[in-house]
Amino acid sequence: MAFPVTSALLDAIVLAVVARESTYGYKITQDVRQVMEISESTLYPVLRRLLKDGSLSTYDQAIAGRIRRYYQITPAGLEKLKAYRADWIAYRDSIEKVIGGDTQ
Amino acid sequence: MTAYEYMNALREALGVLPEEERANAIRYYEEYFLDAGPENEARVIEELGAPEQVAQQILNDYKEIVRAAPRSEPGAEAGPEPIFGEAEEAPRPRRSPLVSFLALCGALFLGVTIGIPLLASGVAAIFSLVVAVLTLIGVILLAGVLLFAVLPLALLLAGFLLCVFSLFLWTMPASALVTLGVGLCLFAIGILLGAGCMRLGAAAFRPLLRAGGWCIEQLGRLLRLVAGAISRFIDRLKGV
Repeated sequence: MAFPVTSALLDAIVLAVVARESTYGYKITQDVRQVMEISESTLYPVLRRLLKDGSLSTYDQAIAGRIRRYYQITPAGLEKLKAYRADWIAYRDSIEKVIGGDTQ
Repeated sequence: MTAYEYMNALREALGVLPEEERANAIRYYEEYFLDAGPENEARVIEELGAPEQVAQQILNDYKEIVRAAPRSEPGAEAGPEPIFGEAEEAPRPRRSPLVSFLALCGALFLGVTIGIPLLASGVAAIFSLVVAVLTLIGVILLAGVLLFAVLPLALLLAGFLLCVFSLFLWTMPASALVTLGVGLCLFAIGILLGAGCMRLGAAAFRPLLRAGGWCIEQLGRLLRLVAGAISRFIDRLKGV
């Protein structure tokens, strides 16, 4: 992709994915890979960062004879996601005015 | 490379991380392989890239987070961060003369109210101990004198008196002879005992003298120690 993927954009995407439902590492990676090209190793640092700043929390659940670690969004994470959404809409709209030629 | 080998290599490459951080990362990738399923193992390994590369990514990110929050412990909630993110401790501020003076006064007050009674009670305790030891030694010496000096003397005296008394019993020769015999026996025992005691006393006297000297020496050392401590304390007060 020609446009850089910043860590803020990754944070916003992961927060949005986890906000939909509590989910786990592999699934988050596959969900994000549906919409953008990222390496499989990209998301662990992102998840770790979001855990550290309290935007996400984890819980363990037994599944198919083993324990799986699930990620869920916290109230602080929801606030952060809201701010990212507002930023994103403003950014998208202003870029759209210039680039999105045929929609105008 | 199998997932197992991959995880081992990753674990090794993450060796410098704190234990908890490493365990979290390892667990994430273990679960990642499990959730991907064995059929995707080769694909995941290929896409992840070299374990060293994955580890480097985690290490870089870890360094960034540590730099951003120098005081947060792994696993602990990050506390409020200092505004300027100072990691080093601020240098100790120099104390003003007034504060130094107040500190000196406080130290003196503490020294007078606590130090002197403490010292006095310590000295009193040592003094009473010394007195007790000296008393014990005195009692033993007195007992020794009584046993080893008075007893032989008494025997000598009794023997002598009996010998003299036998001279007045000439009318009853048998009694006089018995009395003289007993008197001479007592006299002999007294002499023997006396001589033995003198030797024993001489033998015991030297160690006793030496023990006394040792006691006095130790007392002197203790006093010097206490004096040294007091002078050091005064020096420190001056240095405040």
